[in-house]
Amino acid sequence: MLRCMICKKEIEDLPSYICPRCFGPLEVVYDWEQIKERVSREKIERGVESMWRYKDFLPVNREPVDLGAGFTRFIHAKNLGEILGLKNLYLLDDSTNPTYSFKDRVVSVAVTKALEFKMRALGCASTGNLAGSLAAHAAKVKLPTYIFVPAGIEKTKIVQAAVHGANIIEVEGSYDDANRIAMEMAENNPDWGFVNINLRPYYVEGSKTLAYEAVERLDWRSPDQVILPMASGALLTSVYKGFQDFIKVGLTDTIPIFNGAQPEGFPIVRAVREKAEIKPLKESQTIVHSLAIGNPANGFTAKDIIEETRGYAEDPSDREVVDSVLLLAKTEGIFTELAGGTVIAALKRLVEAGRIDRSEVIVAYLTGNGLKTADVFLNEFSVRKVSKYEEVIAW
Amino acid sequence: MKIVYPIILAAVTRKKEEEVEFSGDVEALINFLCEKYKGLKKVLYNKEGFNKFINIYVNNEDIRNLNGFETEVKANDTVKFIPAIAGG
Repeated sequence: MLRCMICKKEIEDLPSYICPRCFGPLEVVYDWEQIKERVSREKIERGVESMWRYKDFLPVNREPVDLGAGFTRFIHAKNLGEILGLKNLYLLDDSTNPTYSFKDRVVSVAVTKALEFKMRALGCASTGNLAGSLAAHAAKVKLPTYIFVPAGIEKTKIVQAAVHGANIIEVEGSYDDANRIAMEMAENNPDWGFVNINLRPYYVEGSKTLAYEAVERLDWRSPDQVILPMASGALLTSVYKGFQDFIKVGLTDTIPIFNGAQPEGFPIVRAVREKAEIKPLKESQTIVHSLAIGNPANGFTAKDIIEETRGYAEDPSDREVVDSVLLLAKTEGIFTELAGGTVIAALKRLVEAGRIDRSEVIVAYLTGNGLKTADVFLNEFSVRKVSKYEEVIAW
Repeated sequence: MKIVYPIILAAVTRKKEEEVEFSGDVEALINFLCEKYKGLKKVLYNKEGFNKFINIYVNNEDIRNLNGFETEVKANDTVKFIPAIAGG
């Protein structure tokens, strides 16, 4: 069952993403009494070591398409914490997912639903990470895939999708232009599963597992604060829902303070800071392509959650992002992609502004692998060339 | 001028696209279409004004990046109504 988040109209389980009455976003409805009877800490702890240990909380009715996403590294970042002045900083690192980003969580759910709905092709609009993930999952289930990406995307991300056999369409313009064309494709091909369009209500549910994992890894308690990257705002919204789910069934009892991170000048941060409506951004220059969504579909929900939980949002500059990737790499041995650098840079700002207490338990979400955006760092180091042993010694 | 409707609006207009003769701004165009199709206004507007979950594009450009509802539309333009909730 799906329900409109705005007018609450309920509709049957279908590949659909907007309310037929008011155009509002649809969300999955669960029977919480039934789930509460089925789940327990012990049952979850005995489950598979992937996101599917939380299958009771996900909207699927068949064996999942599981490449092994989720239950990734959860690290007490003592070295980075010492530098930032935080005693209890934890990192949930999704760079070790099958295609090296958190997108494997959402795609795993969406592709499972596509099989339930007997769809004959898959598609998406992507800033890169989703492209690689969808292409890999599509290869596994032997469905053709059509991926719309903005011009100027990192070639390493297109390569990842291409090697899995996806059809890649590069759209002149921004991500929002690619998204618009993908939406028109979805409108005209209802038996194609566009994971972040007509399968979106199911797709976003996969990110809830990022909340479940944080609670489980913290010995079944919620952190005091979380910080997440924001592109469309869907990730932050879903992680919030994840904490709510665990409260509903008694697996935790508090919602953390939610903080968001975007590249400099992007709309959700601006709206939080100015306490204003979200105004789309037409053009941007940021190097953080994976977060460069100028017209964020879930911006309004992300903003509401940040305000409701008394969190904040920060938009560090590209330089701060690069420096933060390097800081993380040199203190914790984690090479995160630029979205992760945005999170660490924003965290640094929040600490400096006194918005985070030194002893609070913080979870920072790192959503992708640094090798995907390695090009940015090619000018950040030099390599010494030698031809003889003596030259090394002299150095 | 070509008008393209998403499936949900097509349930009201009974067509996914059509050619109309019109000149003026986007607001006037919407009023023209609401008069033509009974029930369209109820979907396009709510008590807060124009439905924020519908984006309007003129020649593939979001009107919020043009002159908003005051954006002028001409004979050879294509106007698309596209749902806002997608992507990410």
